[in-house]
Amino acid sequence: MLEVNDVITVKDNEKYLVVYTKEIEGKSYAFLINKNNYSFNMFSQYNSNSFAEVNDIEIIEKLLMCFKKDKGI
Amino acid sequence: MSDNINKLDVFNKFKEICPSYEEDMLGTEIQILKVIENKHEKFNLIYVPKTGQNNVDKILMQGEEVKPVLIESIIKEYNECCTLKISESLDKVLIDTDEFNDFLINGSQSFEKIDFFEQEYIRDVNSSFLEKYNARNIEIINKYPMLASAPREIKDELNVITNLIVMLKLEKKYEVESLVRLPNGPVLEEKDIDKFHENLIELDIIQEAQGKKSGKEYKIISKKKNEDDKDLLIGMSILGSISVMHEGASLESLIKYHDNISSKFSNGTEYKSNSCHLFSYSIYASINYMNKYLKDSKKYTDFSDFNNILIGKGERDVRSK
Repeated sequence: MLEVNDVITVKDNEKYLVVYTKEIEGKSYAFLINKNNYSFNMFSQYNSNSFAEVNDIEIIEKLLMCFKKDKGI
Repeated sequence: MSDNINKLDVFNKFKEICPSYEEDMLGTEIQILKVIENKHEKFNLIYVPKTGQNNVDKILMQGEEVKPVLIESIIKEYNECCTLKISESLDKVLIDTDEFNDFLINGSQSFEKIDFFEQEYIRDVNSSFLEKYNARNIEIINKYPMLASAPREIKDELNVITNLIVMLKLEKKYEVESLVRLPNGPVLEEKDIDKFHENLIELDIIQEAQGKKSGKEYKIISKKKNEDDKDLLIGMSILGSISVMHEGASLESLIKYHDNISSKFSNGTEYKSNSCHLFSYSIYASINYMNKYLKDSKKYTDFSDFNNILIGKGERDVRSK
């Protein structure tokens, strides 16, 4: 499981910081920012050894709503 | 070794390499179709499809049964990086023993690099031999290129597909139904295949493969704790900006949010003094994100005003402050 403030290194040696994690419908998601390029960030669905960029609007919107709720925004 | 090799010779060879299988074979009808061997005859890869009720195919390496997917991975990887030669009929594989030994010793590491579902591989499969198969096979195989972008755990679950492709490729048989099987599982019947396809759809494989649900996949090499609070602050700021902008945020609400985030992280004046840079940078990053992912969202605020506000500011990198 990923936790906020984890730094994960991927194949190309780029590092991503876990900013937020959430589980929705049994799937684990995290918001990541690229530590080398802060403007490159993404929601991702992850498992123990990989993560995949989420670009489905519906899921992203759900995650954003969760974030706002969790942070009291 | 050609197809017309004396089957007795092949059988004797098989017994020599795989004595433990001799007893199993007694009284059963076994057709040894392929003996794959290296030129020094130190390694032998044997493909032994059994006929009969179970239709159990086995691939043996040095007498030990290995999964078809594994044997194919050996062949594929070795072929790519070394000098493995597979004849057109796939009945002979010439392997340089030393290289192959080295490969086996480092096998587990090498296998990590293998991705059966690379587009290139699938494309190669499609172009090289799929056209030869009947409509039913094509119908099935055509569903599988989407696996190229499937998440790893689903790929593992779908080794069945690789098995199918491997079997088709190696065996050139058309009885797809009898060849489709789960790893270490039972042979699937036609009705199971249909069910399997339904499951694929349920798992959103197709959508994922078409890029509708998932994008690029990254393999995690390592994980450790972050030691720089500023990174997390920036991340929170960016995500907060995205989430606030998402439903038509006002500039005031964004400022309020950023003030709040900044104060939570500030231990002194460092972040406070940079808050305006953080603010502008996070909005810049947020706009990038929204441009990329949320263009079609109905809840997306019109960010053109933000763009105007940030002209000349957005590209300032907060890290340098």
